[in-house]
Amino acid sequence: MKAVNLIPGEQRQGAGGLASLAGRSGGGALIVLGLLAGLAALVAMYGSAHRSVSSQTGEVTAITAETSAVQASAGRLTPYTDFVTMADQRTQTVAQLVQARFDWSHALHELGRVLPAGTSLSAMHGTVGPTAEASTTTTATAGAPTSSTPPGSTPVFTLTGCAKSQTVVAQALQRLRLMDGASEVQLQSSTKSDTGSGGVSGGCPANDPAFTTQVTFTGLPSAPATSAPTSGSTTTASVHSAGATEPVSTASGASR
Amino acid sequence: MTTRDRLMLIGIAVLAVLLGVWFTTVAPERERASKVTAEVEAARKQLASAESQANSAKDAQAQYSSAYSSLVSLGQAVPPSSETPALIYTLDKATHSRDVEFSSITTGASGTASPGASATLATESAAFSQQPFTFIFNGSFVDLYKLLDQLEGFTVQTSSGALHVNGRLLTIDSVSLAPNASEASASGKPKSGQLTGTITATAYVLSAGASALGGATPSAPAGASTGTASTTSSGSATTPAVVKATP
Repeated sequence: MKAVNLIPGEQRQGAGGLASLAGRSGGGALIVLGLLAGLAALVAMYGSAHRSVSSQTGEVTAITAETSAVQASAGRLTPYTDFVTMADQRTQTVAQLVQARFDWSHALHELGRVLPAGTSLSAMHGTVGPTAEASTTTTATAGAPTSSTPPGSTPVFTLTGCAKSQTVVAQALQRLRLMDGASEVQLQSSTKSDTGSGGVSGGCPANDPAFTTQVTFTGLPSAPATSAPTSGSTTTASVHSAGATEPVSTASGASR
Repeated sequence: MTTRDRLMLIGIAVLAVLLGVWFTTVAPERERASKVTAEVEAARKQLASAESQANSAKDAQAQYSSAYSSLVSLGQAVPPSSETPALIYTLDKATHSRDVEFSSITTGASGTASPGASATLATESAAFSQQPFTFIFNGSFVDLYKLLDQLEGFTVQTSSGALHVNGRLLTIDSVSLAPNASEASASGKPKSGQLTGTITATAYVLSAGASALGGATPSAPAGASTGTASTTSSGSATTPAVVKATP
């Protein structure tokens, strides 16, 4: 037989709701327990934060002292850093000036190689003149080493000579284009004289045309980018003196 | 007031107390802790930076002797003063190694200098000043172009990137070759292909105020306080340019 509770639901004790949770103390014990738990948690958090502050304050003090000591040590060596930086900069400047040069010897060797038989030169004038672009570059990069032949400068040879015939002049023009680095060969004049000047200063024999031509070479290349001098960095380039080899700074490429 | 309401009020009061404790005590301490943590991080970064600087400085100290040697070598290429006598000596030795006559040397701009070269004669680089020269040599075509190779070969850069310094750094601005009038025979033709080569070139010297070594000695740079540094040397150690010519 199943038992039936005949007490009305709202009058039952301990059957659920806040009142049942409160128990006989009316909930006071539960609240005190909650308060204590909350306070304990707060105290724990405060203690943890306080311990962290204390230990880290000491750590800051120690690190600051160590930093000061290290900075003082580095400060004592500053003259070395400055000196090595100066050496790096000077080496790079010299390297850039070396790279900005035109290889005259090679160009003259090429000239002698390509001139055909039946031609002779009475004068040769070669210059390395800056182009407009090179001039702009030179003024724009203040502080960069200023070469007398800055990157972008165009070497130009002006050749004056004699040939056996106008055909040989044409052949000479074709051959001059074979010079290493020549970008343009322009004939300025080729004049045959019936009498010939026959004198000094490169006069041509009678019936031999005297020609003047201009050979323009490609502009001098820009110096390759070099890393900023950093003291203490591993360096690859060297400065060789008479018998001495000392690694100093970064530079690349071969140049004369 | 029912039991339920009373419990709610007490709970709210407890919560308020706990929040009060949080905002007045715990939260400020936690904020302080986070600030100190940030300070520790900043201090560690500063320490790392200082240690990096110190390591760089130690590396620089280790490289000092090689840097000193390099600067001494570069003093041959770019001396602190014009060192024209040494240049003449070097050129003379170079021509002796070939069948070339060293006829003349002129300082300053030449009338045959290119406009571009003239425009830059007075300019100064960041560290170097330009010093224009005009040389006149007499010799055959082959000897003259080999001489040009020798002149530019005083300071060269090898394929490995190393600088090889064996004399003054020269940049040749222009070259003119013409028959040597003094060698011309009665027929008006030059004898045995003798030419006069007029070469305008630029040498470089350190800018005014710059010294070759900045007062450094072989053992330590100026201003360095090392136990091994010699104190007998004077501070103004402007090293003379040493030009070694190898014929």
